Amino acid sequence: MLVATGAHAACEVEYKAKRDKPLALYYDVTTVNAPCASAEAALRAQLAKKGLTLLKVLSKKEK
Amino acid sequence: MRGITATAADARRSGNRVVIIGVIAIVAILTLAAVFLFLSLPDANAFNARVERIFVENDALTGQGEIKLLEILALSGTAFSETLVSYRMVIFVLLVFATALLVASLVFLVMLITLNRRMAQIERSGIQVSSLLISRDEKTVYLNNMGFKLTDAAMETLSVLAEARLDDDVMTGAEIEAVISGRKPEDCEEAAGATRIKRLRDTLGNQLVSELLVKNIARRGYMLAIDKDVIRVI
Repeated sequence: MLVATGAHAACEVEYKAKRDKPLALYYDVTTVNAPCASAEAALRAQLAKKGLTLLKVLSKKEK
Repeated sequence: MRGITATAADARRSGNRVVIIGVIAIVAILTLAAVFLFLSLPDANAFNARVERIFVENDALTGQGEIKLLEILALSGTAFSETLVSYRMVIFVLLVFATALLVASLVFLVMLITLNRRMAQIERSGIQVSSLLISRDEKTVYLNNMGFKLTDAAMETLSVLAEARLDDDVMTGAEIEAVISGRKPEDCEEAAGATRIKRLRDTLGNQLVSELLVKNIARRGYMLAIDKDVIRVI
């Protein structure tokens, strides 16, 4: 979708994020269209579009 | 006289230096305190950061309800920090007041010290004339609001001397005599003027000393008009 690094690579990421002013906290599981090695950067960019900041990645799972 | 004014000027100069250094020190210390105050008080984001850390450090905090609770915690912290901002303003205003008061008290302190020194100098130099009022009607001269009766001749002499002093003139005995008698200075004798001066000194000096030093208490006798403590016999 956003980052086209690999055609068939996708990664399921469990993460925590936040939005500032006022502080809002998010916990979610999502699938990123990237290999798990670069999933975090891809997810960060994806969240930034929604005005969120990635706080922590709890787990990654290859799909 | 010159020595006294010089030392008074010195005292004023050193007093000014003390005031400047003191004011700089006070302002510096309180500015430091203000900076420290503004740096050390938690900013509005401190509570949010703390809540965020709790959220990140505890992996188990993933439930919707728990997250909502954490957000409420952060919100109440933010509300508290807003009151802290107003406190900070109040503290800052108080600091400014404290600076002003300290500066004022320092200035007054130095002024007091300088005045004390000046007073000591005045005491040492004896009588310092701060006002001279010549009243022709009463035939009286008021020195520092102490009235002294003078004879007509002494009154004339003093008036002439006062006028000359106003013009910054120095008069010879002959000139004094000339002004008072209305003749030319060449026709007047130096000795006549000197006699007038002597009479003025005698009457005024006599009264001055009796007012300031040797008091005459009616029908009882004479007494030194000074404090007991200042008398020393070597």
